[in-house]
Amino acid sequence: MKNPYESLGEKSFWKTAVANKSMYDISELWDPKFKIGKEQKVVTFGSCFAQHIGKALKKRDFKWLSTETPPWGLSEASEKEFNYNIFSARTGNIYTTTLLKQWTDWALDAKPVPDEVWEKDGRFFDPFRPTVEPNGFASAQEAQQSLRQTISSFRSAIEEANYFVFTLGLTESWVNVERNYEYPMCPGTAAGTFDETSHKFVNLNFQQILNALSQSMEAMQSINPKLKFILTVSPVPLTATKSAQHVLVATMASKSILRAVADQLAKNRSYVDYFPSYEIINSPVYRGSFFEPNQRSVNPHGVGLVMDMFFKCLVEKFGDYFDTQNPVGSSAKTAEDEVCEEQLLEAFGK
Amino acid sequence: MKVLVLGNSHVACLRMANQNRYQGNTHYEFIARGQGRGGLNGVEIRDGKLFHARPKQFNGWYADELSTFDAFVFTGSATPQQPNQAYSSALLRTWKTDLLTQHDALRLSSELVRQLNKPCIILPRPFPKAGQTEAMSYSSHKADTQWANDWIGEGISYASLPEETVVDRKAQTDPKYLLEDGSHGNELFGATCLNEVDKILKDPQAATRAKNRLGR
Repeated sequence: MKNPYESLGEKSFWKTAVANKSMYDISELWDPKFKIGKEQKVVTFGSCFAQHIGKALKKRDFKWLSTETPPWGLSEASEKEFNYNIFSARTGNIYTTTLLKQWTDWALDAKPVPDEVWEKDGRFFDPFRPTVEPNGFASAQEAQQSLRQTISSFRSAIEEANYFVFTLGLTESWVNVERNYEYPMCPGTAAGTFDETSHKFVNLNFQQILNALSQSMEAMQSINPKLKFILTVSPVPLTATKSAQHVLVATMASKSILRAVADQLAKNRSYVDYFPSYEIINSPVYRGSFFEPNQRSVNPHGVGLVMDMFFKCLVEKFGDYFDTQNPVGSSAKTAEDEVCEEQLLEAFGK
Repeated sequence: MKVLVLGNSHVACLRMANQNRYQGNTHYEFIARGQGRGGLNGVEIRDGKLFHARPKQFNGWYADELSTFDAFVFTGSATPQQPNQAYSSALLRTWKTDLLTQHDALRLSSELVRQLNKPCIILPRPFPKAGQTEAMSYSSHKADTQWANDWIGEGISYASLPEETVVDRKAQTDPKYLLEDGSHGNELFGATCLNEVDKILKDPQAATRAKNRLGR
């Protein structure tokens, strides 16, 4: 009788799947649950690495959905400066699953939206998106109106999407214990003033992270039952830690917990999948070659490899159901341009 | 009245109409380069004349003083739409600056008004045929046009698409005004638009916008 390993394929063995291959030839790292159609809407939120997924989807002519859009004609530079089309709404980074739960509660009217606004030198800052405007808002009212717009757009993203991609980033968070809400950044860093009485540090544990993410997903499905989730863990190390640990140790602890939560949910829920961008960037097999010299930021080469892997694995699993080389838009544009030229030649009699 | 029309392939229907159908008294001249080759990108106004590094790429390039024209018409671009989301005051300011410095029709209009103090009109391209764009109403197009005129100011007039070219008050151009490609106007559309420009230029409000702009 054969032992259980004998019938396994190449990808199950380190020697054949990794050691005998160039790191660029490693394949089948992801076994996708869902065949993401080009016509299906994908929204992306979470830690900063999530923005690369949105960009890659757009580049390959998939339907990345942005529900909070800049006005027509705003330049690309201004769009970036004002944080449009970074995530599917202008939430800024949603680093923790508890922050995701907070955004979801606001969007579904399960919790009131706080009215806290920070003021500095006559400009006003949204504590929940302190860097969303390059120089803050003109008034507290404008900051609150903008936050309400983003909450509404976040709800639209949940309602309209087929896939909700969420990148888990941190376990460490800052909360206002008096008002019972969470900030994405410690008050007093990007904006605001730190108050040791009301501002407290929380390093979330496995169960807290799992509960917040589960509850968020269930709440989102209550208004969009068809919504599916793709989780990733950000490979980007912590900038700083408030835990007593060394930042390197704190990073490994945080990422391990986040990875375990993602694993638990993807294994136990049919509507949740996990894409291993964290492993591709951080595995020793890739020898740290995807990090910038600061050993923290992921370089474009790494981002490119991760996203190539995303689409390659979809093709490996579901067949060649989309053209990865020639996005539809480019050929259509060329044909339209040719038509335009013909009309001008006719009108100007050449 | 002497008017210079500038734009991309959407200039074609205006020029054809001017040759074959137009009955008015305005003397029109035309300059165009297909959008695929850059449209009006790179065109500048220098010392009262048009400048471009490769003027031969344009149909009907005009090298003399622009002050001989009474007005300028730009065509082939869309009308800015009223925001349907909340934007900060800083973003709205940045948006206007971006439009006036980077959107070719607005950039050149703004410069012509500044240098020559002559009215500039921006004619939108026709609505594409049904199914090629998201549905909107003609009334929202008119409201957007009014809003753009109030908001942009600067002596520039946005024209609405002539009502007779629109089907059922939806943002769909009547097929009899479109070429077979479904997105470019034909000669009939061009003639209707030239008449619309004449009407705007006769409107004392539009004619004095440029002067008002300098007086603000």
